[in-house]
Amino acid sequence: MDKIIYLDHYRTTRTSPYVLEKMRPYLEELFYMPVAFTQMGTDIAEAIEEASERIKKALNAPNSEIIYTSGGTQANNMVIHGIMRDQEPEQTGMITSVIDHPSINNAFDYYRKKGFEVKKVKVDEYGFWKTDQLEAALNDNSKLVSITLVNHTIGTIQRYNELKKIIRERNPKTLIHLDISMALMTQEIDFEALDADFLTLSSHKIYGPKGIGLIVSKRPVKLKPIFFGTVVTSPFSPGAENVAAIVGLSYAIEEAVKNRIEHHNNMKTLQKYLMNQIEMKIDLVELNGPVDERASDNINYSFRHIEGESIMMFLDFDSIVVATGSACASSDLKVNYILSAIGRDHEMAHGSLRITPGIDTTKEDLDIFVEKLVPIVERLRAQSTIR
Amino acid sequence: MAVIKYTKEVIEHFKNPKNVGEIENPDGGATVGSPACGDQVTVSLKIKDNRIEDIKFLSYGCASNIATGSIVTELAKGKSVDEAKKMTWKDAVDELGGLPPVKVHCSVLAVDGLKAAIQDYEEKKLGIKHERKIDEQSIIEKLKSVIYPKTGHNIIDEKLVKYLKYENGKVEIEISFDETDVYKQNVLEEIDEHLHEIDGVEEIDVKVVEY
Repeated sequence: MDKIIYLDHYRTTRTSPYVLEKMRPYLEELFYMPVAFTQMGTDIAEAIEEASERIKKALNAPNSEIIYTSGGTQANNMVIHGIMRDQEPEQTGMITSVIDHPSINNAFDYYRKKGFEVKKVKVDEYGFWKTDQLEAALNDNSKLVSITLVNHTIGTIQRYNELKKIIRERNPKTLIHLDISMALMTQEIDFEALDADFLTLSSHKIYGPKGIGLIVSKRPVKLKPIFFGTVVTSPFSPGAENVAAIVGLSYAIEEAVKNRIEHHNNMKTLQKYLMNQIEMKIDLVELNGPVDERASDNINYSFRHIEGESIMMFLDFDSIVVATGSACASSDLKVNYILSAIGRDHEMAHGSLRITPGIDTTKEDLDIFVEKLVPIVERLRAQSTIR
Repeated sequence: MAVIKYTKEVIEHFKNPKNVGEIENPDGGATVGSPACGDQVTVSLKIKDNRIEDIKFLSYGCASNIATGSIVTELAKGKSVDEAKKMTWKDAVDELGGLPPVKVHCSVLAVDGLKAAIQDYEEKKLGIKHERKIDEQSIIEKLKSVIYPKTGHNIIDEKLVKYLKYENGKVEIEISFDETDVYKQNVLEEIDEHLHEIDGVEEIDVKVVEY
């Protein structure tokens, strides 16, 4: 097989060798649980404590509570259900946007069915929340606003400070939940400055292991547990601690924050280069999402007259990995809801590719990608029903 | 989780599709599906002595859309018109060594394209009028073209349709899904698309019910 050119880092990243090395002892000799008053248990408890301190330092969250979860999806669900569990539907408002991550969006749908006042703010053609809709959605009942900082499909960076100002001014009691999963690699994350009530994060998007994520919460934690069992370190995540993954995640966060500016600059250079190449060499393409205020590691184009699964598969034959918003390639045959929400017609949504470079990506990789992509687009257009 | 992958026959027809293109001055032709649904096929025919002498297709769609267009045209070529009319999507799927259930609808579309092109030929060249009576039975037949992506079987055989009534251009359907069924929206769109193809159907009312 050829060298794999992996341009799908928004789906998942490989665990970095450094992180893996830090995890290894906890998968081998340090397999124990954090049991009090025992030598091995104390070592483990300390390792978890140190991991949490490492994370708080990296995210400037000295006065926070770190809650470990099984991933980003569970983190978002634990925040939403943890707040809503005991609320009365008639007096409880919940706000998110139409393009937020499914782990938020679908959880909100559940509460809508239960009779909660669920509002999904519309976005403009670039994926920015419409602030007038947010203002209209807020009221005295607003309990929670969930915001995804960087959109996982089109890379839009929400104008968080503007949204926060609107929320805090209208209802200071409204809790703000910010999902930073796609943001940490390229955006500055300062928990104190962000002043969100909760941050959520997934590990495998930032070169950490799969199966772990976290919630950073203000103190006191305004959540109710939704899982029950033996409380070892946190009442919110009872049961055996995923020690190796916790340690791994903490180092992955530390690395991401430490290398952020350099990584962002690299990504910006590659992003500009690839966008130029695509727009120069292929006609009838359109960028999805904004040009400015866009995460530097996200590129998303629609190719007119052709369908994305076909493009994706031909690239796959050449060991190039990208993602598509086509319904054909999705598990539920639905057209990508984000592309629909920013006003793309079905043809444009089906013909979209999400290209997300990562730390190993080189300019040469992008050259090979474009070199392969051009004839694929040409041949698929030549045999298309749409002219 | 189900492993969703294509057979080597599908991959081969996707990579090197047969009969791609458009016949100039065809004896019959049709375009079925729509970009909105993610797939569209155009079929054009040359008929000589009541046999399909040449056939070509164009495709907007995924790998299985292209592969089924290729195999259906390949199977139809050289057949008499009557033989070709008897072809089913199962013939295409078998020839491809199977399709993932979620992709079976592509083969239905390709065969529909072939049949619509033949119908066009019969109407334009032979002057045969295809007047169909619309009744509950003909609607059920039409709904047999709607594939449930979870199993690859049609929604009638899957017994998803619990109630059906046709009166004065209006179709009423009740259909049931589990709460967690991810294909609900897709099936509802497919029902709408297929029933709107029937001349005379003006209103479609589909209710999702729990049984």
